[in-house]
Amino acid sequence: MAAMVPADIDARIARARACMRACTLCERRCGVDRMAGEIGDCGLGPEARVVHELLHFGEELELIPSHAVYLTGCSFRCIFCMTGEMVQKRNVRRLGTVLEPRRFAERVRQRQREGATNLNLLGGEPSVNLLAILELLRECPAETRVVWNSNMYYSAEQAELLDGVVDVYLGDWKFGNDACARRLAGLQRYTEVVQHNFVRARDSGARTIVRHLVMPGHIECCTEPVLQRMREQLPGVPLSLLDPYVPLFRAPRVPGMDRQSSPEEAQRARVLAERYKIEVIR
Amino acid sequence: MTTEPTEPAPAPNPPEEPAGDLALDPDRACQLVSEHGGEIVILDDGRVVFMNASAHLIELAHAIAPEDEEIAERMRRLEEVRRQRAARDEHDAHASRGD
Repeated sequence: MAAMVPADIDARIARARACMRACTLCERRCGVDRMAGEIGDCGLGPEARVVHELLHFGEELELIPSHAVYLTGCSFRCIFCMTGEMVQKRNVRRLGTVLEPRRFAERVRQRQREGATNLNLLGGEPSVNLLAILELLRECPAETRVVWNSNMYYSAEQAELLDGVVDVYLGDWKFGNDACARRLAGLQRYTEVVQHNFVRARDSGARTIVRHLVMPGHIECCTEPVLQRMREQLPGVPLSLLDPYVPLFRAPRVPGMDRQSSPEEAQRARVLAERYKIEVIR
Repeated sequence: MTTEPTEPAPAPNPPEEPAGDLALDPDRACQLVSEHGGEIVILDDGRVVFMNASAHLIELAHAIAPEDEEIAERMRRLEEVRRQRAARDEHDAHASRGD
């Protein structure tokens, strides 16, 4: 059952606009006036851009077929980003086309006729594109099921605007500690922010799925701590293990991150999940 | 009188060996992806990772690894979507003819 577009969607849009006047959509809190055309840390001004959209059969089985919409811009700087070109600042406002809500809602309807069971917003990162997404949802069929395919590094202000809009939080929990998050993605206070947002997502009543990328050499420092926190903070929330890691983007130049994760590492992650009694979904 | 054994003529187009266990080799996978779009990554051990898997990539993955249960499940979902779409198209065609 979809969350339905909430009756206060216009008020939420107004609040998203206000957030972007001194941008606090993500936890980078860069504070620029995106509505006036200033460019945030995410590389975006007021508009969102769609690079690619497709009927996706590669997501978690319970979500396919999924209408995946790839938006530019991101709050992370992952050295191994698989969509690195889409999030580099020089490309964010150059690639793709501007998301025009009414026009794109037609495409959403078309994909639903083709069998899409949900609208899967990803990127890049959807949370830096909140305003355009809310404007899009206002134009979409009320029963559209929304999948928030996110890095979960958004602000509390944004979390409040997502409550009741999102049906499925499909969130990444990549790093098990702040040092790895800082070194590999340029982030501050990662663990605190992401954990808080996952708990809030789960408490909202929406379906919540944690995705974890099995990175090479990061089982002890990242995988195990993430699973421990899941056991303590998110009992009952399923885990989707992403493997293998592939050294894309800048990773081939970073020692330790320049190799694929091994089948043995993926197996260790599965064993840990089993030990912590976490359901692993495909 | 003995005759020298003759060398068998080489096959005109010897079949290419697939890489590893793959039914299609990575070159073929790359060719299909370059023709039809999508992204794949070929791993060091010969496995092919399908990224942003649209319908044709699922078909390609299924052709490469028909024994893979997860890919087979995705293929079943894809076929189900196609069946539903075909049924709807047929229904619409009937409706437009006033059947």
